[in-house]
Amino acid sequence: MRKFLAEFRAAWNLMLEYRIMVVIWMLTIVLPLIMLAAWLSIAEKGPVAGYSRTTFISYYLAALVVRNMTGMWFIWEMDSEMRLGSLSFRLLKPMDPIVHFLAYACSSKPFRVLILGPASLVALLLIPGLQWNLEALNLLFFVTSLVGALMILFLMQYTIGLTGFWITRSISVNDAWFFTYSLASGYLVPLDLFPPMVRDFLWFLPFRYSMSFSVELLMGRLSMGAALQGIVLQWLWVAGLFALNRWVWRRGLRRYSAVGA
Amino acid sequence: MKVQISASHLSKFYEVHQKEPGFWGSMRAFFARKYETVRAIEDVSFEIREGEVVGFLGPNGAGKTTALKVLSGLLFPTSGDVSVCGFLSFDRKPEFLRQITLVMGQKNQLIWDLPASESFLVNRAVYEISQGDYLAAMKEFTELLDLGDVLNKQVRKLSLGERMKCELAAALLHRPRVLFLDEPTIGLDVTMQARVREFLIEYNRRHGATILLTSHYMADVVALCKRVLVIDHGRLVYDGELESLVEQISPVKYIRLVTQQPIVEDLSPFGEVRSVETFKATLAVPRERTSAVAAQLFRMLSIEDITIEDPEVEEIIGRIFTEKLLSK
Amino acid sequence: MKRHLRILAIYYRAALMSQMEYRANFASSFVLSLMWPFWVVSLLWVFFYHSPDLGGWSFYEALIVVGMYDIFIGLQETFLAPNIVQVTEHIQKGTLDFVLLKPANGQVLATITACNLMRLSDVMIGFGLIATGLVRLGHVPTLTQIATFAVMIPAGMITVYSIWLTLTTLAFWFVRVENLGEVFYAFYETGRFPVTIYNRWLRLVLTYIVPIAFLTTFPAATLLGKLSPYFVLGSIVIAAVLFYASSRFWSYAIRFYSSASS
Repeated sequence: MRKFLAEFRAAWNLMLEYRIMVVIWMLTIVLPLIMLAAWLSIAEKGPVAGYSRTTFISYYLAALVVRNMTGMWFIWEMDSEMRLGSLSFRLLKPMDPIVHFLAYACSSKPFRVLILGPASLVALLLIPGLQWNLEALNLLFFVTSLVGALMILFLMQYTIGLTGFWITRSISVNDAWFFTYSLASGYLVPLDLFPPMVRDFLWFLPFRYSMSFSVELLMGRLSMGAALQGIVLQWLWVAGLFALNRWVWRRGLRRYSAVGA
Repeated sequence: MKVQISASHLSKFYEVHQKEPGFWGSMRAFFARKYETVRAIEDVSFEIREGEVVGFLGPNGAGKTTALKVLSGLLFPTSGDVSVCGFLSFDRKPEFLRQITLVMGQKNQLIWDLPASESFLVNRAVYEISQGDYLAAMKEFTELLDLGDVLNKQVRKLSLGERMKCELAAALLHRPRVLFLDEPTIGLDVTMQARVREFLIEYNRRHGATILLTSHYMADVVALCKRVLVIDHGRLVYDGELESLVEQISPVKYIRLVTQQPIVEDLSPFGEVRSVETFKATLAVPRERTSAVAAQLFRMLSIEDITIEDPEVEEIIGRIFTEKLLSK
Repeated sequence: MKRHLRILAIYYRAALMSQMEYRANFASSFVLSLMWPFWVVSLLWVFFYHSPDLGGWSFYEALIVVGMYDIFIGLQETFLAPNIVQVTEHIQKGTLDFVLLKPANGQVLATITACNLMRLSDVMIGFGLIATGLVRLGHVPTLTQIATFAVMIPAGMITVYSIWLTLTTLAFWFVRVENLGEVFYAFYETGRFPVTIYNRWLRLVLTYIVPIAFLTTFPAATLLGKLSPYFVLGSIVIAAVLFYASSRFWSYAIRFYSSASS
C-alpha cells in the first residue's frame, strides 16, 4: 500500500505538470455529446422508448462524468516503455509493475473531480428536471460503482497492454476494444435502446459494469436490490479480470525472459 | 572471500529472422521466414567473489549486455546455471532484487518530467528503505556525487552528466550488494567519466559491493577493474588480471605527436612509425620505454601536443583472436 | 533439464508467434479499418430502429455522410497527421533549416512529405459506403452533381490542410502541439452525422466558423441533389481563404523562426 501511495504521489505530481493537457483532454471527449445531439433531434417528436429529451441529456451528462472518472489511456505509456526497453527496470524492482500503472492511471482522477464537481453543479442549475438521484445513499452506491468500473477498465487495458509482449501493435488491439466497449457499455447508446435481445445479451457482460451500471445508478433507475446485485456482479467481474490478467502476466514474463526486449 | 556470482556453462541463444534485402526479398519473407540462431553467449563459466570489481570487455555485439541481462535475471539462460547471492537470478525473487541493481548507460529509470528527488522517493518506498537508511544514503551520494540542487531540477532539463549522477544515486539508494553496470559512462564527457569512476571506486571501497561493469572504453576498465572477462562472439576468451592481459597482448603504447614545425626527422629509431604527416605522427613504442622515448622526442622536436594512449579495446581483442592468444 | 526443455519450448513458440506478428501488423490495420464501418453503421442502425429519419436524412442518405467522414479521416491520417509530428520535431531539434534550404517550396516539403499509406483503406471504405448508399437509394447522380461533388472533396482537403497547417505553425511557439490536433478532431467529430441534427446556433457555427459542414454533410447533400450545386462555390471560397490565411501565417512564422535562431 505504501508503495502504491509513493507511486501515486509521483504520478500526481507528473499529472500536475500537464494539468492544462488534462483539461484539454477532458474537453475533447465529445462523442457522447454528438450522440446526444442526434437523439435530441429524434426526440423532438416525442420520447424514444421512454427517454424524453431531458432523460437523454441526463444520461449523456452522466456518461461524461463516468467516462472521465473511469477512462484509461495509460496504454500509450505501456507501449512506449515496452518499445524503449525501460520495462526492464521495472522488472528488476521488488514491486509488480501493475502497482505503478494503476497509480498512474488513477492520478488524474482527483483532478477531474475538481473540475467535474462544479461543472455538475452548473448542469444541475441550468437544466430543469435533470434526472439524477442525488440522495446520499444513492451517491454512495454510485461512487462505489465508479471504483468497480475503474478497476474493470484498468484491468482490461492493462491486459491488452501486456499483449505487447507478443505483438507490437497492442494499441491497435486497444482501438478494436474501444469499438466494442463504446457500443456494449452504454457509452454511446443507452442499453435500453437496443433491441431487447441485444440488451439482454449485454446485460451481464463486464462492459455494462464499466459504464451503464454507474449511469443507471446516478439516474436513480435501479432499485436497492438491483443496485446491490449489480455491485456484487461488478466485483465478480473485477476478480475474474484480475485472474485473467495475472495469467497473461505470468506468460508474458516468461516470453519476455526467453526472447528479451 | 565468498563466491557471490557464479556462472556455469552459461549459454543464451536467440532465433532471429533473416532479413532479406530488397523489395522481392521482403515479399518472400512475408510468406516464408528463414531463421538463424544467434549465439549471444556460449558456454561461459566464471566465479566472482564478494567485493570484486570485474570488467566485461569485448567489442560491440560480443554478448556483454546479454550476459549482464542473464546475470541480473532479465533473461533466462538457454542452458547452464547462474547464481547471484545464492539466488537463481531469473526467479527474480524480491529478496534477490533488493540486493542487486542494474544501470544502463543510455536508458533512464528516472521519471523524465519530474525532479530526480521524486524518483528517489518512489524507490525508497519500493525497496522499503527505512527513513534512517534513506537519509544516510542521500547524504553520502550528495557528498560523493556532488548532487546539490541538481535534485530539484526536472530530469529532462539536466545535462547528460548530471542525469547520470542522479541515475546512479537512484540505483544505489537501497545499497545493493551487487551492481551491474552496462556502459555507464557512454556519452559522457571526459571529466564526467572520471567522476563516475571515482565514485564507483569509493563506493566499492566503502561498502564492499561487487561491481560488474561492461564498457568499450578502456579507460573505464583500467581505472576500475583489476580483473577482466573478455568476451568475443559470445565466448569467454580471457579471465584474469587486466595488467597481464594488456602486457601480454599489447606490449606497446601509442605516442601521438602534434608538432609546431614540420617533421623532417626520421622517427623510426624511436619506435614503429604508424603514421606520419607534416605536423602529426603516431608511434608504437614498447611500454617500458614510453616515458624515455617521449622525453627524447621532446628534446628532438618542437612538440605542441603529445598524448600517450593504450590501443583501442577492439584492437586488443582483435589481436587476441587473430593471433590466437586464448589464455585460459 | 526439464526446466530447460520447457524454456526452450516457450521461446520456440515465441519465435513462431513473432513470425506471425509482422503479418499481424498489416492484418490488424486492415481489420480496424473494417471494424469502423460496422461500428458506425451499428450506431446509425440504432437511430433508425427508433426513428424513420435522422435530421431529415434517411438511413442510406446518412450513410453517405458517414462515408464522407471516413474519406476525410483517411486522407487526414494518411497525408496530414504524420507531418505534425515531423515538423514539431524539426522545430524542436532545430533541423527545420535543412528542410527550408532545399530547392523547393519549403512549406510543401515541411508539411506534406510524411505519409502513412496504411490509412488509405479508410478512404476506400468511405467510397464503399457512399456507393452502397447510392445503390440502395437507387439514386444515379447527374453530371452536375458528380462534378460539384468531385470539386468539393479537394476543396475540403485544402480546408483541412489549412487548419492542420495553422496548428503546425503554432508549434513554433507552443511545444505540445500534437494535442491541439485532438481539439480539431473534437470539432471534426461533429461531421459524423448530418449537420441538420444540431440546433440552429451550432449549425451556424459548424457551417461558417469551423466549416465542418462543408466537409461531410454538404458534399453528400450535393451528390444527392438535396443541396443546390452553387454551394460548391462556398467550398471553394472557404478553401481559398483558409489556404491563403494559413500560408501567410506559416511564412510569418518561418521569418520569425529564422531571425530568432540565427
